[in-house]
Amino acid sequence: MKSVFMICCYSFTAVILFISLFSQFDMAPLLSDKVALQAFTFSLSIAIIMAFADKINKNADFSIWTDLLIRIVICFAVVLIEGIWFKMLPFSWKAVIYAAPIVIPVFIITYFFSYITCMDWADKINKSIQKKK
Amino acid sequence: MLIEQSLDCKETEIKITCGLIDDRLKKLIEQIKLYSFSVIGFKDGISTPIALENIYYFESVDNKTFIYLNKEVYRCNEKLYELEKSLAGTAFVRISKNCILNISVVNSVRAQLSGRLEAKLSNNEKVIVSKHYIKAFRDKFLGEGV
Repeated sequence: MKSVFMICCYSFTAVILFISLFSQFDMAPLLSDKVALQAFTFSLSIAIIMAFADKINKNADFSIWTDLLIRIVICFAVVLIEGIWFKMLPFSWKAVIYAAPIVIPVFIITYFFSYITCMDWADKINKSIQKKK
Repeated sequence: MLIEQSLDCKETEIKITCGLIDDRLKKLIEQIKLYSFSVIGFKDGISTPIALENIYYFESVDNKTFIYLNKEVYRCNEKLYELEKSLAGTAFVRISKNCILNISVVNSVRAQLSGRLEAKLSNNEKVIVSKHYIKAFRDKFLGEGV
């Protein structure tokens, strides 16, 4: 539950930042209440599906590349399906091109935040080991 | 602390009387268990009891369980899930689908970009902590309240 919330927070922040940035160049809709709620729906859906994928991964223990691929596919699938549903994206192959400038950086940022969390844990564990010595 | 020494005593017994088991006491119990129990290892047809504190990690390869010591490797008849059960409350923790690690031999850990942790052991060997076992691994060091 905590990880779902964390992923949701990271990705929502990143999505909002990128929508704001790309809307300056007419590459994304202007940020409004509706767009913010839709972005939240994207983030929450991605977080829930990723948590579900993690549960599957626990039993299968996929390699890092398979894991990355699954996560990117989840991000794209959610943004495309919901983007078309909310009429933010056109119902054509072009939707993939429109979604890519937001999905890819958001994915990288979310992944980077997970790495930062992991680094923080490693740091705390190392301190605990040093203390014992 | 009360220690009763007697030549009539045939078996060492440790009794802890306490109110609530806190993190410090939990760690002490883990240490006592670590130094009190052993696992039977097999090598060249000879079975040897191996003290838990000498074991670095257990690994399962092709449905066979191996015991890794500082430099030696032994076969173990028990399955990883059986070991995980019997080693509950000791310094051992599951770190991946096929590995149970003794955290007292961990010298340092390093985060990997993949979201996994790389643990460096006191014999310079490195083992990977899978993403899904990181929380349990972290809690073993820092306590569950973190």
